[in-house]
Amino acid sequence: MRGLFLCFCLVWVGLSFGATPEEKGLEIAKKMQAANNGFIGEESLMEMVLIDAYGAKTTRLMKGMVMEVPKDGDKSISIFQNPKDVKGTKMLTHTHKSGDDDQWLYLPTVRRVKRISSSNKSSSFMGSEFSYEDLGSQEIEKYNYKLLNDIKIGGSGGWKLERVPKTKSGYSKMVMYVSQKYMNPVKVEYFDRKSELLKVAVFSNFKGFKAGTKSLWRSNKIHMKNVQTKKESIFEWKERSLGVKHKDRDFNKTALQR
Amino acid sequence: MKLALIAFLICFSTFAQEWANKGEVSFQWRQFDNDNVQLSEDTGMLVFSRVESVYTDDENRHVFRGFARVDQKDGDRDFMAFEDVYFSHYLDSEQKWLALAGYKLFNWTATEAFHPADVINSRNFDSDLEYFEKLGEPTVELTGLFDWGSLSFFIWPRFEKPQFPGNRSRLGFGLDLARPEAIQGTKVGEEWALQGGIRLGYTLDDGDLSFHVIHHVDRNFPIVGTTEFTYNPFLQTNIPNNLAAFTTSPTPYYFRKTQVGGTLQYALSNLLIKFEGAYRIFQDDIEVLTAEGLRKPVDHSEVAFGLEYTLPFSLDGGDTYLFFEGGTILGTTKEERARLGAFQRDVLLGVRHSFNDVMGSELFVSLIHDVERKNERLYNLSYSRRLSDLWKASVGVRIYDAQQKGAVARGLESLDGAHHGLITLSRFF
Repeated sequence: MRGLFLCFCLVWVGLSFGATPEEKGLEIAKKMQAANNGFIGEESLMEMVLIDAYGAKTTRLMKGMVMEVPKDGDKSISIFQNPKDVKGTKMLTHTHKSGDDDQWLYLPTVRRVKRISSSNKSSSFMGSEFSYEDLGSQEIEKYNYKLLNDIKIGGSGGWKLERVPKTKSGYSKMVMYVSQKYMNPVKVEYFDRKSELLKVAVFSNFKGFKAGTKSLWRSNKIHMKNVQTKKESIFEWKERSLGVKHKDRDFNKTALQR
Repeated sequence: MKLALIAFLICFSTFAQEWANKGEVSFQWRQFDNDNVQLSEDTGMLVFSRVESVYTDDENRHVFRGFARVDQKDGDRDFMAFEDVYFSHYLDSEQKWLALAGYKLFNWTATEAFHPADVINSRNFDSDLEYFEKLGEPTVELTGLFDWGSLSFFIWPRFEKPQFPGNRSRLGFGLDLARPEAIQGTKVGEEWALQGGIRLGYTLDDGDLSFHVIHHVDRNFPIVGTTEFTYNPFLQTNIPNNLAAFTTSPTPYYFRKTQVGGTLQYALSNLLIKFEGAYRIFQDDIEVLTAEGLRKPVDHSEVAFGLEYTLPFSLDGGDTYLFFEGGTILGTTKEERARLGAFQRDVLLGVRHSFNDVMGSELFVSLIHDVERKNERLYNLSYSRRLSDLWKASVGVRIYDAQQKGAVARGLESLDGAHHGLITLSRFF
């Protein structure tokens, strides 16, 4: 019994002090994933404000539905509301832990559902400073992590993590400032393929949600600043419900036409 | 009574009701290259409007969508059509089976230019050859919705007549065609018809498959002429009973057919692979006297293959898509193929660039080239961008290069020289 206790202590000490920054980084990423999983499903109304280098603003509106898929990436549908010429356009995404995601676009004018290539994730989302990659599901299997150092965020603990994409990406790396309280990033710095700082995203308006028996935190506002072009975009969730139970068939190609 | 009212209110409040309305009003100016023909109208100035209203609750959905067009210069283009006017209802609490009735627009295509599988709706032929405007089809539908896809059963009780350009239209035949007629057995002109079909849609991880079997009055391969003629033994030829009508306003005839077909879309990294195919067996053997003699429908196959490649890099934050498509009609002679349609053996090369800017700017350039018949090409260039959240503008040029080679213009030849430019200004609401 004493030997077993000693073994446990050695393992614990080894994990705490002997682990490499990469192992610690991955451990934190897994903790974040565990804290954020279990939301079951989500429905939301989203507003995106695009601000050009001269301060002129344009607003985009979307509705969103997400279904959590155990052991794989999430399934989501975005329905565009504004600008008016694309009102009713829907995008269905099945993200995967490995390999390319599956994506379909519903074009309401011609009542057509078209499969689209999802591999070019670095493209701008609706002319904003967000790319499809920024807004898509962030599966930990797609990145290598490294703990840079422990930090303080608003008086409580946090971590500064480096995340390097394993697969094709518009970024060489991302530096995340993760809050221990929210188990979510409060800031992310995005570095372009030349390893120069490209964008900075600040996550705010954290709100607690209940999904079944689980409590989760979600940021309801992301302010993305492109430091190279001086353009900005603010993505804000106006109405948001977690714990919504969706059916699998609400997230297939046929569902887009309904 | 009070209890009934409370029960009603409880039931009513549990429904997630939603109204969604949208529409557009567009002004379009269309200018053709002058053909020096007095009758034809080289300028088009039209107002187009479309409205859509959708009501959805937990179990039901009502859709109304229609459009109207008025052309100041060419009255034959004035047109109004229902696209979707239907009511749908889930038959079970699991919402696995959906019943629908009303006018419906179908889109079964997988490719961009050639559409062998997308044949249900009648077309307005005074529109772009690659993307003819569609008219709603009266439909009764039962669809099973499953995790893997869907299975649909259709009844189409009525032949919805296609719309043809008038004699002044540069996209027409220079003739005022009579109203199209369906041929069913020995009956000519019967609009009510026993039409139906089954379609299976199946989604694999990286691919979408669909199969269909339909029996209906065809909408894509009319034979233009007359069924009312008599054989003149003295001249040893067939003579139309009404020669004036035959020469100035012949009738497009549509025949019943059974079609078996399907589509495939498969994603392979940056590449989308597309396929469409159909085999058509025509049922009725009534002969039509045409400008080229007696004709009757010919059984055939039609296939189309496409590749869409998304460039893996971007110079301006936008996306560039390269298109290659090929389409052909099989199981006929070269002459029969040429009579069947404008795109009887053609390839398409195209580039679409989405600038991904705030205004949603987009540039599209394409060339359709006939690989079987000499010197038949269609060039297309268009650019569109938003002017605000409500206004959008687009400009375009289309060039038809297909000199007539025989006594009768076939396929794209009838549009040779109908080059035109378009400017469209749209207000969305």
